[in-house]
Amino acid sequence: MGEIQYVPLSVTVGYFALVTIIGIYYTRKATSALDEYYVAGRTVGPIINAIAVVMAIGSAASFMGFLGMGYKLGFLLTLCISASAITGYVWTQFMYSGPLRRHGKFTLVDFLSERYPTPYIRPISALLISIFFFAYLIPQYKGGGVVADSLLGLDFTTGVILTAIIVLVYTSLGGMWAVTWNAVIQGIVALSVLLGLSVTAFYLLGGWNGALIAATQNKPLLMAINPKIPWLLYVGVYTAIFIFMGTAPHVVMRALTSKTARTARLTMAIVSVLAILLYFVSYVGIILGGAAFFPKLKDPDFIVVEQVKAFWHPIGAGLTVAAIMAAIMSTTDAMLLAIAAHIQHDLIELIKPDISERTKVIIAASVIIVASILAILLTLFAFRAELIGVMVTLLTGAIGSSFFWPLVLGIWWPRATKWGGLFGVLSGSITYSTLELMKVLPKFAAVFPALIISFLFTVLVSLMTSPPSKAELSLVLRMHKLSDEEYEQLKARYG
Amino acid sequence: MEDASTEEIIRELKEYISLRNPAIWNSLIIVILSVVAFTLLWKDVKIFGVSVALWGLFAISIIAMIQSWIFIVLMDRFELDVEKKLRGER
Repeated sequence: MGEIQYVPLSVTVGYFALVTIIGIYYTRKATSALDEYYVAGRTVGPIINAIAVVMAIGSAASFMGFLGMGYKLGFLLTLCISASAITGYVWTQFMYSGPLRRHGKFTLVDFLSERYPTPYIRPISALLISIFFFAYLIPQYKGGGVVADSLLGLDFTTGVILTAIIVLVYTSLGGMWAVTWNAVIQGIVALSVLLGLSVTAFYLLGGWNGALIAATQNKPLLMAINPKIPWLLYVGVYTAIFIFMGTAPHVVMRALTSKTARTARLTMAIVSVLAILLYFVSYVGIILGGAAFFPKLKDPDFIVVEQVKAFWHPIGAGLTVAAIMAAIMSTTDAMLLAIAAHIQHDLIELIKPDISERTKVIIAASVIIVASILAILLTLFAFRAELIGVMVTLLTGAIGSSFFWPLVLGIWWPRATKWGGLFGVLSGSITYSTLELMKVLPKFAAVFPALIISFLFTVLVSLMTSPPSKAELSLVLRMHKLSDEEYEQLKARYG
Repeated sequence: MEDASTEEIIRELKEYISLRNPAIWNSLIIVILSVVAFTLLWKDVKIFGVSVALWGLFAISIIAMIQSWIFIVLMDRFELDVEKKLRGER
């Protein structure tokens, strides 16, 4: 623990006060109707929604972990991440956003359980997502602790607990409305800080050529393929993040907040542009700057922090803390809301369906509090030494392996049956987890066999079982057929 | 009656999904080009001494992003045309 840094601390406290006020302001609205609690009343526009999607996805990994991976293992690995994020969003735009918006349910589990109506798909999917998202909280809290320790002079434990408490307060009070508006503020702050740092590095190094020469003098392999990295690792990182971008349940929830299928597509197109700014424009300058100015960092995750300390005023340091904490917080509260939704909506209501609206909100808030406390304990006592980027990439692979094919085939292949969908989810998640635990493949590469097996199980089990019922087929049709309102809007627009 | 209704839904679904092939193909092209890029990486193909696979992958993602903007308008018109055609047939 170093000396407390009062200027950055004041800026950070001011920021936290702002987001807490926003959370409290929307409390009354959130507790009045569960629909508003989870999907913001479907009144947000595409630009706001796009920033919220980026911030829900962007986390301690996007703002620390992936940059550290690029600094240590080479810029081309982060180029993989950039490409996969952008193409993942484009894939989502074409393949999911319209049909899922027309489907009109709350969560990915709602979709799966209606499309594949076995008694098992809802609890199994809800449990898997809750476990994966709960695990996702740990690297986020670790990131909060590390930043507070490094830039504010607080100790790691205090930083972790403080991060969790602030997220907990506004998430449990405000619901998605507060999260949406907080995500917009957070998105603007976070993007500005990272882009600003990238510009600073290029300015100080005399532009692209100067930065490239200075960085590669210190780290000759920075811009080349790293011979120590198996090619399957590059492919694994690309694939895990690509399938996660489209399958991530909190992205699905955000797609559902769009007014129409058209605005859902527009949202994802804006997201792909923001992804270029975040994952390429800001990354390239920060990684080159890090290699040029700080070639011997002990912990690569601090590439951002070290440059801020060296080149920016303490107010800039405070904004950086706010930005990174913002990214951590927006992801964490989206995850907490999803965990609460699944446990309350998909597990508890399955056992006891006749609970009141008020009880539902109380259960959701209680789940959020308990999950936060458990995640704090695990961060402090079990996973403190794990790398943020590695933990997050492993979890993106787990989520994508489990749900990618059941989601894609559920929308686009009417012959997919309920048993096919169930076995697709089970086989993908079991294969991925087993191979990663056994460590028989390069890190992240388990996503390939998991995807192949999930695809085969979904297709083969579907073909071996009775065709989908009329209700299941009607659901698929509803996702592809324009509603009368949508049809009239398009006719009025294009004639 | 039950079978006839189900048949009608299946027929309508086939029409919708087959008419939306451009959206599916557009997405599949992204995947196919990504596979090509990683094959170049696997084979360590270099042009003028530079490994181009991952920069090529990034270029593909930029093209995909530009395409996605073009398709916002095209998909609207496309969906409207499909809907007009299918509603007209019923």
